[in-house]
Amino acid sequence: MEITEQPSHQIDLRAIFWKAVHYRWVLAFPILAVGCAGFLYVKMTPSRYDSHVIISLGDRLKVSEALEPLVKTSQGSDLPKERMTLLENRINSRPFLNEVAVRLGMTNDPAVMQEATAAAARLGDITPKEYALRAAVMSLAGRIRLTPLQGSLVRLTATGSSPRAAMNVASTIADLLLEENQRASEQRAQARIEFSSEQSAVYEERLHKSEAALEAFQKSMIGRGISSNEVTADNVDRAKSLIRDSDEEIEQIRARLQSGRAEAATRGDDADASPLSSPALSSLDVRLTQLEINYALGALREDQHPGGVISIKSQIGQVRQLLFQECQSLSLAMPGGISDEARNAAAGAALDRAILHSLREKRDRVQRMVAAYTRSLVESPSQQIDLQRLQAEVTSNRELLLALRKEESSSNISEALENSQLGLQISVAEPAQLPLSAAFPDRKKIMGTALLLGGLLSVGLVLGIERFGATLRSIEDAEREYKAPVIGAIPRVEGWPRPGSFLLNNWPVMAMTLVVVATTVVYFTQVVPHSKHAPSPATSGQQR
Amino acid sequence: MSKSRPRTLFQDLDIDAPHVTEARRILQILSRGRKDGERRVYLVTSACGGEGKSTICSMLALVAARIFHRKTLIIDGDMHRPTLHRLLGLTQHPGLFEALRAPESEIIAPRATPLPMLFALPSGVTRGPIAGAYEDGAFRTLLEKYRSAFDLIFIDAAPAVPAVEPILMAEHVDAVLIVAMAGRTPASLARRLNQILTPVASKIAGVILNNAAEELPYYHDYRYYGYKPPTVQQQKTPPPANRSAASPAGRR
Repeated sequence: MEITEQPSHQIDLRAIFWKAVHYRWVLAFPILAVGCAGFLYVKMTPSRYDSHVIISLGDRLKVSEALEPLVKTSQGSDLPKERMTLLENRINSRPFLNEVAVRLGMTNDPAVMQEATAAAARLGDITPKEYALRAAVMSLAGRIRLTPLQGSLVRLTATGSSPRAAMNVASTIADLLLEENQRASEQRAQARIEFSSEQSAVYEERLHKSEAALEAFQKSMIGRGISSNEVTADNVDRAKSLIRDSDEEIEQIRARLQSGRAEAATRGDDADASPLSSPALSSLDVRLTQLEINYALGALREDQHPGGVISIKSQIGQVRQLLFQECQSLSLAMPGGISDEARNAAAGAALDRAILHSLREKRDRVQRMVAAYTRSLVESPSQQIDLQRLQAEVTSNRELLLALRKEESSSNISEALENSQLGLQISVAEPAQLPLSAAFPDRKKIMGTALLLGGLLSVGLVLGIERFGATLRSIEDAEREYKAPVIGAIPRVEGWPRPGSFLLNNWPVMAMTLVVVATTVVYFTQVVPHSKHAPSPATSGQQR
Repeated sequence: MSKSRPRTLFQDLDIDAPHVTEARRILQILSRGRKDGERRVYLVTSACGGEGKSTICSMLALVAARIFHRKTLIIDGDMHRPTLHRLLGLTQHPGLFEALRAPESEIIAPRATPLPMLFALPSGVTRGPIAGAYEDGAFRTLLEKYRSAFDLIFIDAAPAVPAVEPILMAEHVDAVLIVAMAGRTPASLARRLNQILTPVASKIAGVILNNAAEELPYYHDYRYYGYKPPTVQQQKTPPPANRSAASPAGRR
């Protein structure tokens, strides 16, 4: 049976470990070389320090609920991203950076001025001061970073060649931001005062109009209520009964008057030609009419004052009695030639006329009240709506005017308008602090990267040697190339040196030694002299 | 770092040493692959210099004489870069060159070594063209003289790619052993040597890999099996007197 051998793809960890030990110096060389390069880079690269300021981009100030519709703008401006963009644009604007550079005194540095003078002489169309300022602004623009944090917080990072320089830049920017924000708010608040005053006047006039409209409406309602408001749903039937009773009584009196006239005509008298009249009679007539009306009103209010109606009824009886006596006396005072029967008929007719007049007045009054009540039933919903609308309008205008006056007095309305338009309310949540360590170069990061890169190079180098090396590295290689069996593999004699030249056997160690020596030389010739002259981070406070 | 090389191979001849063990194994294999009386003369060559053929050739001869108790002759056939005399602690002159140039009646006897069963013929001091020394059948005549006197003969030849002597000598030997150093011998040179040895391909007994550079996998390293180098006291232990333990290597 033919057995076909399959190549083994299993990973032999011992073989890998053996290779690692065998190539230990080859593996170590790239790691050491890249590590030394990283070390020199860390040592030779100027340190950069970062100072942070946490800025809060708060919401606009709260205003009263009544003013909210006035100051409310598009919701998009409240997004943190847009606020951040606004702040970034403000900081990176040339006037802002100019001010920062001037405050930091960046243009007063003799070295900068010397360079600016040389550049100005070369360019011709610019003064040294302008050139220095522009250079300072360019430098500043590259040293400021904004990073959004949670919520409305933004971290402003300023970079400097020393801790103090970084902190100065950061704190100056923060101070300037606060000042500009305050100044702009005040200026715009002042400018908005006029606007708010005009608004107050408009709303005051509007309030007066609405109040006048409400008053007029209420007066009309009150007027309607005086003439007809005695009849309600409870006593409307009683009112109608009063009208019917009055009508019946009027009809009876009319009938009696007509029969009296007929009798007078039969007798041949002309009683209507000279009706009885006197001031007392007129007075009693008016009084009777008033009592009849009072009686009707009392009857309508009978549930409230039951005793009052009885009293009025007796008064009516007394007045009618007085009227009868007056009519009797006036009939007696009539000229002679008139029979007693005619005199009695004239007195009775005068009395009936007075009673008829009072009943008619009473009936008409009650009829008007019933009619008003009936009309109010139809008109009541629309009146209520009008009343409520007018009242709400008055209330709203009054509240708005009060709020306007209050906000105007505290200038909050102006700030609110200001903030609603710019969308920024800047405050410093955390001031700048002196950085304790350099942000760049990050020693751990660079050295870690160097070691990782060195490790990768080492592995790559070994794999390259193994893969592309053109020597016999295994028994299989030898048998394939010589086409003869390998009958033995002689190990190295213990204590004997490895074969080959010294350079061939020791090149990784020699190369590593060379790298270490070169690194040491560079360190002591390039790094140490500079570090002695350089100011320490803690004391380099005035370095810009 | 590496220690200085010992003066001679005899000082490091420990029968339990890994290289000795491997040499014994090779001799055992060689003895199985032939009939009695055949292939007693082995030519050891390589593709290029520095592959350890002199050391391995000497080691095989030492082990054959010391452990298998065979009367063994080792000849330094590399007149370009002779090294055998240094490995064995002998003088270079007289040697092979003189023996080849000597009259037929004159026999230059191999020299004795510290091992009773081991004799050596250094390269000699060359005074003329080296390849010319092998003309006129001088080498064949010389080999015939020694063949009868020794159980085993090992010839440490020059590298076969740059020198012509190995292929000339290979015509008269019983087997050819190729030495290659793992990790150092270029594959292209190995192929070139294979082409050169094509006329005597049937005589190639095998390849001996020199793992002095420790390129082969871990299982070729004796330390993997817990072997520890013998102490100085162990190395001074006298060789066993019992000769009956000899292997059939070189037995006629």
